[in-house]
Amino acid sequence: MSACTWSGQSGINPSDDLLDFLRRLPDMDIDAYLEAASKPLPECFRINTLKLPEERVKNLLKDRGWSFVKIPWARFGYKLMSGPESGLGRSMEHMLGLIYVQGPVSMLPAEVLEPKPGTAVLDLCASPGSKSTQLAQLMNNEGILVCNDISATRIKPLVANLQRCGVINVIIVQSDGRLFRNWCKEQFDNVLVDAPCSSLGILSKDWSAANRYSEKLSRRISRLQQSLLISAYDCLKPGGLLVYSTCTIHPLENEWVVTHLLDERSDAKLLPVSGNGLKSRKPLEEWAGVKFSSEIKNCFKCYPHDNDAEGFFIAKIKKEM
Amino acid sequence: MKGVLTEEEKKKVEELLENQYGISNALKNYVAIVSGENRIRITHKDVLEFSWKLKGVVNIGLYIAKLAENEVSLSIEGTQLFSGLIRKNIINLTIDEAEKWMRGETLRIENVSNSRYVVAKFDDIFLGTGRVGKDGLIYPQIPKNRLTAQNLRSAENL
Repeated sequence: MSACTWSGQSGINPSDDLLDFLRRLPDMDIDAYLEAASKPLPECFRINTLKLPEERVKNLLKDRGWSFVKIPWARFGYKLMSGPESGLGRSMEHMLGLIYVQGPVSMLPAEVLEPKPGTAVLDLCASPGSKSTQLAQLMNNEGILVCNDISATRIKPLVANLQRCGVINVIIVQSDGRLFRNWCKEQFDNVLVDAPCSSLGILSKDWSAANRYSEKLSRRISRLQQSLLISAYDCLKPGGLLVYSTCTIHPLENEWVVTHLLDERSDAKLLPVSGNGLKSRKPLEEWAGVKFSSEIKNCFKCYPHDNDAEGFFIAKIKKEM
Repeated sequence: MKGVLTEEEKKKVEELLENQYGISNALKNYVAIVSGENRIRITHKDVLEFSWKLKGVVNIGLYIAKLAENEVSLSIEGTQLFSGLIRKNIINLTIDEAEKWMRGETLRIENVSNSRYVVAKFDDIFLGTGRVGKDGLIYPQIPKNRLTAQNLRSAENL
């Protein structure tokens, strides 16, 4: 079927490549997926307790006309219900760093990693800093937080967001994450790899990702992700924890990448990930003739239409002592 | 001053902070680094030491203040970090004034001291530093990318 003849209800026209991929996913409801992609993401935010106590910021927001409800899977996360027309992203609270506007499911990887104050933590693909600032908050500005990104352009928003959130214990690095293991072997208690991906879980935010998609692109990104994950894993201390996450639904960028790590590093073990109230589904055991690790069932996976939010994949990996 | 400050250099900055804002021992628990454009950043000693292992370091710690001609202006984060220690040159704003401040609009406040810089707050929320102009107006030092509305005034890019 060509893009022009797709008869779904969403009113958007996916490319042939994307449709072909979606049809090959055994658990995919294409109409529901495209419908979710046609709707905006819910507006959510995190209260930044590095600046003021959570209750103080809640009261300030309420006094200024915002109403919101708690997100169960993120300690300081809230979903906006109503408020002034100007929006949260241009509010005084945002500009002062009292809150951080962030996708709801995007708050889960840092919660899964759960870094403790005083530890050494690496965020390997850090820009624009949503998860970095969340990690700093969970660490209470104590310990060492290294935030890396390869792109000079992407470093700028990272620097700005870490500043706005008042992060003191941070080192911002611009380097190729694949090389990080060369100078930081076994240096970190926790590592987050929120990998660059085809972004098929956030089409409602960026439909251009759908137009860019091709199987070739996913294969190329997958090779990059595999190298990043190996490098990140080698930076972990024995006994340390790593979280690998993407905002895509492609098995080549998710299940396959994690399986590759388990094949390459015998001391890597997958731990179960709980969505804490988020609807999730079982990762695939095999796809396109490739069989994935039997441990892959421990990973978290959701499609955009599961929660009317982002689609995400999250793996929690422990390096055994 | 440039790079990681010695104890003596830290003392000089602390003296400026004490004189201008009444902040005592501001840098006691931190290492301080002066980077480009005389910006003072602070972090912890173990963070600085860890950075020596890394390649491609762009920035370390939090930007808290800018040195200029024997004076120091605090960044928004500087005023928030030292909120409990600031004793003088504070102006208390109403919510409407705070909103204007965050839009980068100048304010006319009565009975402002003759200091060149003042710290603004609304309730317990610190909003950064403003420069007191010769015209008696206060010019908020809000970076452009943190103004709640653009094109109102070309704010000084801190």
